[in-house]
Amino acid sequence: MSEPTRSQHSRSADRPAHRRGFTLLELIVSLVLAGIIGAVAVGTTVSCARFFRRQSERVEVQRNLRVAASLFVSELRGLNAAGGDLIETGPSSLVYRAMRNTSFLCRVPDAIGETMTVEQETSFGLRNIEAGRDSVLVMLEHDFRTEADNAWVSAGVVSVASAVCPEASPGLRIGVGGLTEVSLASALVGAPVRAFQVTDVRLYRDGGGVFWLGFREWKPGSGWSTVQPAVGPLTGEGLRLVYYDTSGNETARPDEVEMVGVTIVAAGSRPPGPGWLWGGEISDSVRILVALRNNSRW
Amino acid sequence: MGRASTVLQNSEQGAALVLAVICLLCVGVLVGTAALLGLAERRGGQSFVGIQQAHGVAEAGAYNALRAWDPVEYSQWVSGSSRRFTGITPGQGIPYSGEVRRLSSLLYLITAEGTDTRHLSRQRIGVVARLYALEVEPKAAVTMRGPLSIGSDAVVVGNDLDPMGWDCPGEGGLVAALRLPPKDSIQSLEILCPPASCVVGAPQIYADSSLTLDTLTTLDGLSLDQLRDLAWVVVPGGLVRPTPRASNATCVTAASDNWGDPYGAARPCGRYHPLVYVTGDLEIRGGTGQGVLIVDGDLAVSDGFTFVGLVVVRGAFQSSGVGNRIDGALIVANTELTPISIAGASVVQYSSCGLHTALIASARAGLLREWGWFQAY
Repeated sequence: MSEPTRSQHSRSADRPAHRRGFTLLELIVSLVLAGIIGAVAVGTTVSCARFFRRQSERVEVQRNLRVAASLFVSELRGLNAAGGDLIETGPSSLVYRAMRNTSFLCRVPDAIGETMTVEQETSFGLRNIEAGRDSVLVMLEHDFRTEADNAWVSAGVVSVASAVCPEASPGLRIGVGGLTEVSLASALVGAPVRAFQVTDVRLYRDGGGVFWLGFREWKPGSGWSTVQPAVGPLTGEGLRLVYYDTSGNETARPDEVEMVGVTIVAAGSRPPGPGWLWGGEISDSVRILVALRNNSRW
Repeated sequence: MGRASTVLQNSEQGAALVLAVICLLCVGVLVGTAALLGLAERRGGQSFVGIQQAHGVAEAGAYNALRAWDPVEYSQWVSGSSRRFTGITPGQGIPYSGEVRRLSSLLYLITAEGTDTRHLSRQRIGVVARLYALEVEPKAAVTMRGPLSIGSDAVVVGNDLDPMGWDCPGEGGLVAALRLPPKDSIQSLEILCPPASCVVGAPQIYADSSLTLDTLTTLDGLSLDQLRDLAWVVVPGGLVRPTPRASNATCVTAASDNWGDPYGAARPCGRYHPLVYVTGDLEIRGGTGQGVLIVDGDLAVSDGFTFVGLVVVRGAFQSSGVGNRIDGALIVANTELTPISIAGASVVQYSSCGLHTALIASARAGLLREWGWFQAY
């Protein structure tokens, strides 16, 4: 590397009019161009971010709708309105017997000790039968020659313990309260035992003013639990329930319900920041019809 | 001047490239994430649809198993017996599988599992099926119309007894020995044996004005023609000697003259109680059977024929010879009002045990009236 010679250095310093640089016009033009490019870049980035945010919200809203729809379908289709599974029917709330387990007697019930034994191999459900939380419906077969006198009786579950069924298969011994000896004596081996918990599903508003699909359950000893948010946020009219009878007409009588129409309106979670940045509120809705599978057939 | 200009251009190019790359990266990350979210959303939606589809397939499987009920096989099971089944849904051809299990003398459990078209979701449901037997209460050992003659060695008993070697809790009471329309110009009765000991029941004779050809040829709302569609064995008539048949310890149910083994509960055909429909006149010489026997014609039995269950005859009935025995009930519609004869050393013994065992064994299966459906998870 050689340093500039003195003659070269003094030549350039002595001639400022010919020094390279920007004119004011060039500067303004370049600033304007840079501004335009910057604005386009920022605008593109903001709209991408807004698109991203809205897509996220849409995904969340639709996911909530699917979860809520699945919940209602799985909770309602196993009910028997004529048998008393719908307890209180409201436009945005429903108290019902939520089926949690289906098992079958493997021994003749002990009518005096008020216990019945079910086989675990043929036990199906969301969870096992729990004492203090569940009640059971037991099918009674009074006269095996006719089906007309079959009946179901319900009782609270007071205890659950391991037991052994015939042929050494594992079972559960369920202590029940409130069944008469006569009732238990008519429950034969193989009779279905359906465990349920009384549940309330409703549109519920939390302390922050956000609406949710909330559930609470009834425990015989302690009453209603607090409402637990399950799906949300929903809009202020986020849950609408309509009850239809066999003719397809709306009915207010719980025992006449054949089908339940459920409309769920979910809202997006608003991010912090000004509205102009993220766009308007997002909401979406779904409507389902759930036919009750266990209604009496004749 | 040329070199300075080149240096300046190089600097500008570098800044633009970096800026462009940063912008593209930002946009790329946002677009990529949005695309991933969209993909996840699509999968979530497909999963939801798949679950509903799998549920529908499982339900179709369970109801198909109920529709394709095999009373011949299933009625012979003891409690706890089970069999797997597979199939495909009509139309889309989605496979399902499941199991039928006997829970008790009346109840069966059907569980079925289905998948969606992509085999990504599985659902399982269960239904409880109940046997719906014909509700027939003859209220007498012999129910019939037309002229009747009971021979000197014949016995008609309304005492409710279990068939020999059977152990089921019968009613243990008394029903009528004979249930007949009130006496008139057509209805007549001749008892040649000592009436007090050979026609036993409470009452001995139940005069029932409701007995008509129609009521005697209708069982639980089904005509005899409709019952033919439910029959397991259809016999054209003629001469028959029913005999239990087994091969390799299995009851040969395909044999039309195998009507079960009423006195061999532990033998292969001991639990086989067929619904037999005979399309013409039938003559039975000896042999044995159990179940429900419907004869769309005349029936003549002789030479020690024994049967446990319900016998329904549209035409006339004759018994002769030694050792004929029916434990259950006999209904004779007697369309032509032909003189009927229960002669020889023949016994018609009312047995609610024999009657209802036969009716339940030959019953149709259907979904339990209430709470017969459940999500099996």
